[in-house]
Amino acid sequence: MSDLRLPADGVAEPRWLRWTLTAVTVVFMAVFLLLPLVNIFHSALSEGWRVFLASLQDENAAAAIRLSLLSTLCAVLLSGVFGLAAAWLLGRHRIPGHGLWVAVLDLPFAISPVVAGLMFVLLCGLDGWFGPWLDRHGTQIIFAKPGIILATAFVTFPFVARELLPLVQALGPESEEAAQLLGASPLQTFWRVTLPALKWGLLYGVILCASRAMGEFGAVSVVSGHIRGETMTLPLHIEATYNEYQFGAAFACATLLSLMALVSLALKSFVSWRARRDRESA
Amino acid sequence: MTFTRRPGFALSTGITLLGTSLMILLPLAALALKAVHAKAGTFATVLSNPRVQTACLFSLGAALAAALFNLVWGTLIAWVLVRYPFPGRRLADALVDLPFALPTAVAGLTLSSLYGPKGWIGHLLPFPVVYNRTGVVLALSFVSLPFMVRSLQPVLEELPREMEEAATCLGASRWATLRRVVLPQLLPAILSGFALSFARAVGEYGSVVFVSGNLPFKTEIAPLLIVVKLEQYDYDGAVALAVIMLGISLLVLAGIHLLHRRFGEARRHV
Amino acid sequence: MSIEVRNLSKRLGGKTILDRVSLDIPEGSLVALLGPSGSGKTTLLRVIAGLETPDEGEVLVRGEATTVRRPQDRHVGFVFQHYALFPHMSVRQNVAFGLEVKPRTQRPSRDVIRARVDELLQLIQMDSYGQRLPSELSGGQRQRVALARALAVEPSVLLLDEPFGALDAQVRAELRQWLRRLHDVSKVTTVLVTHDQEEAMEVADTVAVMNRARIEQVGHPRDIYDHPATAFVARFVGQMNQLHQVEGGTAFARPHDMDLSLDPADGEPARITKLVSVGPLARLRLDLPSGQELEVHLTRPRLEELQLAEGQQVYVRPNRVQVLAGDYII
Repeated sequence: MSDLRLPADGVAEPRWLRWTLTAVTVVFMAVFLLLPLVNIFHSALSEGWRVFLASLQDENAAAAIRLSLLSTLCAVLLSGVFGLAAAWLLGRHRIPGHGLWVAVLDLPFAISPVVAGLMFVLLCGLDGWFGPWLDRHGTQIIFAKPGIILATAFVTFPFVARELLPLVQALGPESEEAAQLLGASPLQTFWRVTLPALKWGLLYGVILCASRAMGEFGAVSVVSGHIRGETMTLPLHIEATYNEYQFGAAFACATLLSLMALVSLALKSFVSWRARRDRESA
Repeated sequence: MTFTRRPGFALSTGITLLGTSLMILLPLAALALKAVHAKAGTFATVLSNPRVQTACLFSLGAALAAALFNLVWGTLIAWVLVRYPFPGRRLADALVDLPFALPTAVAGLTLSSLYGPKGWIGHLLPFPVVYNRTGVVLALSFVSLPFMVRSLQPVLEELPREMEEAATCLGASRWATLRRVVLPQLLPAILSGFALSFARAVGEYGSVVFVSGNLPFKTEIAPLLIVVKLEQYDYDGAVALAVIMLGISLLVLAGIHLLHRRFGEARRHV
Repeated sequence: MSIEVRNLSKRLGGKTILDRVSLDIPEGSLVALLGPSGSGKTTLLRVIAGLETPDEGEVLVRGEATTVRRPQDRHVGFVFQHYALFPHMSVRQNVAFGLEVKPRTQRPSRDVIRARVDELLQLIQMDSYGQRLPSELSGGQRQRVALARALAVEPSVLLLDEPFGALDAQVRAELRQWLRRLHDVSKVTTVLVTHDQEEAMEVADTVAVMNRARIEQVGHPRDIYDHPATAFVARFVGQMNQLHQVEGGTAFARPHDMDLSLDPADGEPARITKLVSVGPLARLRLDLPSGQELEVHLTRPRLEELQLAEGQQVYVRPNRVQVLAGDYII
């Protein structure tokens, strides 16, 4: 009801100011946010459909798409499993160093992606801690696919945990305790009580995680070694084609990532709308 | 929260400990130890390098400028989205998240073309943006704008209208109400959004490499310099720079935590 | 200061919130707007304060139209159900706010403001709480601060919107009496919105009962109770038994206006389904053969005289019946 109610004069800003501010904001958002998005699709198709499709069917582009999907899948799995465990542990129990643990979950967000990539080079590179050992056993992580997966997983690692932690805390232990008093085993309790209550939060976290993982650039760039068809993810492929002045190809690949971004935005709105509806009807 | 060990406690503790140690703490330790074991004087040498100094200062300055840009526009967007109903408000609200969802490389690509000399916006402007410091600030502002809006919006939504009505009935003009009643209550959220924007902007790499032209002493930012040093196998130099960046991130993070602790309580009760 | 509400109408999203409402509030009186939620009482109060604009009608203060004036210039004190204290200001700063935002030419000096705040803190018995933040106070204390803040600017009208609605029963009763005493001393024209009939009856000189965007009856609390003008008022204010349809309306009787007897000649047959005798009155629930339920209150001596028990067959008869036109559903 308060939404429909326009405040009386003197309680809110004068009408002309409201209109001006709204107009300024809408124009700003259109120019600053919407136009870059429109420009991607416009530029991708500016050289015609044939160039657009050819750029996507290019061997290196296809390899980059496959690697991006693989590392996203790994990142989502790692973040999901860790997120469920960590959120439940930190949300239900007061363990020693609680605040510190929660703060540590913020670290991958706060660290520059480039620094994150550097850390993995120091850890697994030839000059790093495990590099020589890995080399002796014939495994390469840095400048190879495992390094890309690790770097992607690092920057997205806490996404699911951060989404779930407040939900677990808000949920409280009562329903789990009730289930157990009714004779449910711990596994049944988890599957039938805890997980359903967290499902929208989990989905939301997974969407955030996947969308960030698909688009990760800085960390991956440092550990990749930029080997065509081998260690290039889609964002790296875009940079490479851009540097070779193949703008059409760069924008064609960018449309894929933009579409993914739009889908993830739509999914996010849908999930938060459903979550709110579930909460209100509960 | 209880002290009783629930079933699954051991398993979840195991996963959490293992995950945190392997994925977060171990890489951090690698960086920290490398920094500790670096040759004496490495830091001083790296830091006294004018190219490093310029890049670091520019990184900080550009991130600050972007955060200030977002302070103004982000606050305005949050205010209009919450307070002024207009057709298409939901769409505009979803659009705010676009820079979050759009991969930074794609953002950099489209900004460099849009603001380039032949771009829709670039050809209208009398001054160059791309391959220029302006372009860097622009890209940083773009990628960090949602932080400002999203940290302010929920606080603004929950701000009771009665408080403003009370001030109005007490004779305060609209301007006095905004300044003395609304603004002080938004301040923690504004500061927090500002800090988050800054933190994101200072570490940003992907979008900047497309618009900056990566010119040493001009548009080179600290994360880019780390990459350059790595490519030259100058690990000590890269580590020194990374440690500085990490220190800045941690400081900002600690500041935000303090802010929430200081103001989180008072807001919850009234 | 007297307030005259003339023919106010307001619609919102196709719903009528106020339907040609008129009300006289004499200078120095304490009027309660009583009604169920959604009856329009809060909107009426907000229109008087200028926080909302009516579609039609006007509000006259001392015979002068205010509907066009901004709330800042109306000199009303408004107290909200959820206090609406400024959380970042201390109790003193909250109380002083209205004085400090006055234009420079009208603003009292710092010493005058300090003295005025001291005086008000004393009035609400919170002298030692001046430096506290609202979050450090109890609900009752917060509402007292909100009242002091509203009184600080010496408003010509005090408007209270469910001021005790968020408080515990005991604190509520205390504040109610305190508000009445405050009004007796200050004589500020006061309008109190409440859905609690007991509160309205105890505090107000005049009660206006609202239902579905209209005022159904205005009068002294006792008149409203004894002579309800409509069926809605009869049932909303105090307990009421609806007896039967008669020519020109429905017959009603209060529970204490009914008597029981063991003699079949004395009334209609009924069965006692519940008997609670705690306190000065015994409360009985009766089932009529028609399935209708009645509530009857008897004095303790009368109960002992009749020797009644649950499940017993009795004969019920109203001592005093009121016939009211119309049949409203609460």
